[in-house]
Amino acid sequence: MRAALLAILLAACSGQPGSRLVPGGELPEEDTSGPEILEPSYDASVRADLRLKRWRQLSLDLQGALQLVEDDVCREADRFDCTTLHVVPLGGVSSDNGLYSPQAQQSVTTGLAIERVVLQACIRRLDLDREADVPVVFGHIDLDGDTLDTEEATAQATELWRRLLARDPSPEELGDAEALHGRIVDAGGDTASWAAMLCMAVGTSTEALTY
Amino acid sequence: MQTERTGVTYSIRSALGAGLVFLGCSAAHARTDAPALFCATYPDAPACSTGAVACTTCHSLSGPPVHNPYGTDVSDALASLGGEEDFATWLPEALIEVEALDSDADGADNISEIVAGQEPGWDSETESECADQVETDNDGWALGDYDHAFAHKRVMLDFCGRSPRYEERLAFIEAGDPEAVLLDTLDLCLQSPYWAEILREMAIGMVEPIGPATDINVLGNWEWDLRLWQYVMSGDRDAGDIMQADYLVVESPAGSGILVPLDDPRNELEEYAQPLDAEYRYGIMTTRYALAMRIMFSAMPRNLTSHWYRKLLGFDMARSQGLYPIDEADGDYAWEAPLDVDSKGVWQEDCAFCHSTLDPLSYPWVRYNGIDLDGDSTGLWLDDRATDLVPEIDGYLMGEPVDGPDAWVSLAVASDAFSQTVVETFWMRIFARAPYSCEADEVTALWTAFRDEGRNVEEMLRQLVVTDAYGTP
Repeated sequence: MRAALLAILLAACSGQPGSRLVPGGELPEEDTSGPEILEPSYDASVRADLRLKRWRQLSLDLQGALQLVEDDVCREADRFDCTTLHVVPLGGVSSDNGLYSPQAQQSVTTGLAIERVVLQACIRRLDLDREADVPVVFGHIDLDGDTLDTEEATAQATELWRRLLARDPSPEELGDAEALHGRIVDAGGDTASWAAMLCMAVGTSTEALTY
Repeated sequence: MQTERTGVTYSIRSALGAGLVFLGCSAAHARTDAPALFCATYPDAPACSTGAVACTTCHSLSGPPVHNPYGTDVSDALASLGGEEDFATWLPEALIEVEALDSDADGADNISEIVAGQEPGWDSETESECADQVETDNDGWALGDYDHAFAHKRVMLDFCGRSPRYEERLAFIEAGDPEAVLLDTLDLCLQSPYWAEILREMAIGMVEPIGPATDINVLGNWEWDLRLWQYVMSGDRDAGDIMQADYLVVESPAGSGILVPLDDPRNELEEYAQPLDAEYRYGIMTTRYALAMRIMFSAMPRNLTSHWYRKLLGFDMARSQGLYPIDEADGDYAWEAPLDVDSKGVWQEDCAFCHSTLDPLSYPWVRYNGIDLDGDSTGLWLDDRATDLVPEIDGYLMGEPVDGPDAWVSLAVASDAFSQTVVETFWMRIFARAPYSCEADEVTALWTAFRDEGRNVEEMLRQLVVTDAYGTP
C-alpha cells in the first residue's frame, strides 16, 4: 500500500490539477489554469516567531492524535524507531556522536524525516482502523471504496482537523479536502488513499508542525 | 548568544555590559589585542565596564571574519591610515576616525551609540520582530498582545511535550482565569517525564559526556553528573547547588525517574564511582567524571575550570570572554602575565592574554587529582598534590581573590554571570533563539529575579511563560 500511496502522492501533488504520470514519459499538455491562489484573509504577525516541534513533540502529538503507542508511530525497515534514528535532524542530540546540543537550524533531511514519521503514523492508524471493529480515526468513510460524499468528507476531515490541529476546519478547508478525493481517485487511488493523504497533508502543515 | 538573522538579536550579556568579546574571537583574522584597544579608547563605554566587548561590535552576527557596517568602516579607516601592518597603533586612530559616521544608518552616530551602550554596527530599527503590530485582524490569534491560548499551547508543547487536544483547547478558552490555568498547567508539566528528559538533554549539553556510562569506568560515570543537573534545576531547588552540592543524586528505585539525594555512596560500587569525601564535593565540578576527564594527568586543572567557567558562568575564554587578567609577574613584562607555575611558557604575551585569567582561576582546584592509573586516587583531593608548583591555593575569579574552592563557588553562584547564564540556557532551550532587543527588559527582569529569589529555575519558568516574549503571537 505504501508504494501505491507514494505514486498517488506524487501525482496528486504535481502542482497541476488533473496532471498525470504517463507511460513513456510524455508529459500531458500543460494546464495553466492551476488552483486559485487566495490572499490570506487575516493579518500576519510581525514576530513570526515560531518553533518547529522536535522529535519527542512530534511523536507524542501523533501518539495522542492518532491514538498510537510509541512503537507504532514510525519504524524504519520495521526495526528502528524513526524518531530515534532521525533524532538529530528532528532537533535532538546524540551524545554518542559528540552532538551535545540541538542543531541551531534545520538540516536538509529534517523535512524528509518529518514526512516519513507523519506518513507512517497515518498509514499505521489506517491499517489498524481497517482491522478494527470500531475504527478510532477513520470511521467516517468506506475504507474499501472509492466514492465519497460531502457528508462523509466533512465528518472525516473534521475528525482529522480536531485530532491534528485541535480545531475545526473552515468551510474552505473542507472544500479543499473533499476536492482532493477526486484527484486521488483519478490518479488510481481510493478513499483509503485519500484518507491517508489528507492525514499526512494536515499532519505536515505548518500549523501542525510549528508553535 | 547571537544568531545570524536578517535583523538584530539581543544578547543578554551584551545588553548588560557584561563581558563578551570583540574582533579577536575567532581563529580567522583573530586580533587578540582588539578588545583591549577598543576599551582603552573608550574606557567609559558600558560594554567595557566588565570583561570585554562583543564580537558583534565589529563583526556580523555570525561572527568573524565578516564585518558589520561599523567594522567595515573601521577596517576601511585602518587601511586609509596605512595601519594594517601596525594594528595596535592605528586601531585607536581608526576608531576615532569613524566616530562621526552613522555606520548602521539608524540615525545615531557611532560614538553616541558606543557611549550609550548601543551597537554602532547594527540598526536596531531594522529588527522586524520588534516592530509595532499595527494590523491585528486575525481571528486565530491576538496579534501584538499576550494571547493566553497561544501561550497555553506553548506551555503544553515546551514542558509536557505535546499539543493541547481539541477538548483541552476548548476548556482552556472557556476557563475563567486563563493565567491561573496556564500556571497550573506549567506546574503539572514540570513534573512530566518529558520535562525530565529535556533537563537530561540540557545536562548533556553541559557535561558533554564521552565514553561509557558505567560506575566501573575509571573515567567516571557521567550519569551522576546528568542526574545532579536534573535534580537541582527542578523541584524549586537552588540552582546554585550545581556547584555547591555536597550530596550525590541517584535514581531510586532504578528506572523510576525519581531522583533522590544521598549524603554518601550506599555501596562499594557507588563509592568507586564517587570516591570524594563530602567535605571536598562541589557539585558538578568535582564528580569523578569531571575530575578525571577534565584534569586527566595535568598538574594544573585548567580544562576543569575553563569548562565550567564557560558552561556555568557563560565565559568562553577561547572567545576572549570573561578575561580578568592578573599580573603575577610583578611588572616583569609589558603585559599582565601569570606565574607559569608548570613551565609551559604561558607567560608569553599571546598566551598570557588568556592565561593571566585562566591560571589564577585554576589554582584553587589544583589539589584535586585527575586520573591515577597506578593507584586509587583518581578524582580525590590530595593535600600534597602539586604543592611544589602551587604552594597555596589562593586564586582569582572574575578579578576577585578567592582562597580555595569554597570561596570560588560561593562567588560564582552569587554572581550575575551565573544567573544570566542559567536563564540564558533555559531561554535558548525554549525559544531556540536569542532574545530580541525589545525583549531586553523582560530578560533582565527574569535573571535578576532569579538571582534575588533563590535561584529557583521552576519559579523563573513561571515568570517566563507570562512574559510578552513568550505569549505574544
